[in-house]
Amino acid sequence: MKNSLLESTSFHTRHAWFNIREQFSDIPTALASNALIPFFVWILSRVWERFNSHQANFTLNEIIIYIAITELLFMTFVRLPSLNRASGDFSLSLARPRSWLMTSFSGFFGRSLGGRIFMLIILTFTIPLLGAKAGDIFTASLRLFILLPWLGIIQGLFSLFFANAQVLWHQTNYFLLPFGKIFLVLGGVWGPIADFSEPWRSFVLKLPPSDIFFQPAYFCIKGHFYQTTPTEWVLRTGVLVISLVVINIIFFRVAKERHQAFGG
Amino acid sequence: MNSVKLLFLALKYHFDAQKSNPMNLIAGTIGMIINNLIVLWGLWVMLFDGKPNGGYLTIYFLSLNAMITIAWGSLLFFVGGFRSLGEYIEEGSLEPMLSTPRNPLLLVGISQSSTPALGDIIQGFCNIIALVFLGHHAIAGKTLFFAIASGIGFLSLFILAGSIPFFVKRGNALAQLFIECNLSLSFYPSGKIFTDYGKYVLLLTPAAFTGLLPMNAIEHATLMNSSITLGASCLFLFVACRVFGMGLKRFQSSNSMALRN
Repeated sequence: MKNSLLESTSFHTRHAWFNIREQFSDIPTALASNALIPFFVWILSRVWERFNSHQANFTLNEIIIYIAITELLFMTFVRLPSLNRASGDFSLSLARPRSWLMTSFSGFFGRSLGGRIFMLIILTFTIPLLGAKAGDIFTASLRLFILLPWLGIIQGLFSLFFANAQVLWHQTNYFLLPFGKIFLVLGGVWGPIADFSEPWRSFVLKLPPSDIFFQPAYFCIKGHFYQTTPTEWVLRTGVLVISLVVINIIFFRVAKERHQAFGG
Repeated sequence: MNSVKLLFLALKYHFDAQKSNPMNLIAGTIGMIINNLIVLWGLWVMLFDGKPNGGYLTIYFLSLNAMITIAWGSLLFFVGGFRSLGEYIEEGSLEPMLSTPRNPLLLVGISQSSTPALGDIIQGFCNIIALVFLGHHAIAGKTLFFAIASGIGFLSLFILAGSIPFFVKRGNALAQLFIECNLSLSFYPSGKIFTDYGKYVLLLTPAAFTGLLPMNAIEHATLMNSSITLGASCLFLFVACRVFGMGLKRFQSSNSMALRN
């Protein structure tokens, strides 16, 4: 039993490591697919400067780094190709001695972590061109690096939830876009929630998207969380992780019962 | 006349195909409406609610959003193939369209219809209704009218960007980046973000035809402004079609054979 657990842990760690390295295997394509991010950082920082700078909660330098971090987290959040890869593997996995849930999760985790590290490297070189200070970018990158594994677990569980749902209902694909937009808007990806008007700010801060986009980005630029303590943030995200684990197990069981594989 | 008939036949074909899978049509449309509503609400909360001059800017953004969603959604729903022009050229799907006596651009346009784009159109018309409900009848009317100019701008952008693979190897990725950049510049209230030099630079991009000039015409609807907007969009379409024509002369069959030493 102990040997089997060790072997399984070793396999999934190697699987995650393989997926991290995979993100660096085709650098020209990865660069082309991430080419728009500096453009979004530029336009969103200009939007903030025009409409929200008068609130003086942040400086332009901080906002450029903030948007770069939230864009980095969002662009590697729940991605359709990754989901298709996992759900497409569902039928085959039923005939394998490995758990589909764990294999998919370690794949999602690795791809997310690898993609984020890759984007962090790109942004470290590009955002100084937009006006951010190199020293501040370095400090923010180090802080983000500490949070990345935990955020990768949350991201992996969200992706797993969608992959499960995709196996159950094919139409789920159409809801991936609005689901992403919910996290984009409520997570403060376009601009910090601290600049939102009341009562929306207090309401949005209570929701999970703010814990996985706004709070980490705020921590990276300010060195502390917004109106919450590190313990409270870990507890909140911990509850989210446990809930997602439970939901994923339930969804997987239902999917396995209902699944019908089609012959060739 | 034959082309118009073909366009209607293609529309009927796409409608029938979508009707045959109502769950897909409903899910796609509802998904896109939810998506657009969240974006609209999010930008309103972030940029305009409780901010100085927020009331006027909300109306401005509602109108901009309506214009863009109607123009973009209508193009993708009725002649969605234009969005994939670059892909067709790169993958060789354009080739069969060149071997018929029909206009290849027309065949490209009618080759696809995007289901979720119906949600964009519905969202745009809901915005128009909201503008009327809020008492801005004139702006609602002008938004509908200038959505035509914006639509011509987007059509030209698709053709111009889609023609890039004629001139650049693996140019479709570049074309998609070009379209996405211009969509963002049109979708955000760029006319209110950039002032002075920034605005002049913006006028040199396709976003001028898809967002900036039509919004300027909606705000200050003089005969001069309206003529400039419509004229500029038509000129842009003419230029885009000419570029496509030039590119077509350079088109090489995807299965053409080449001798190598």
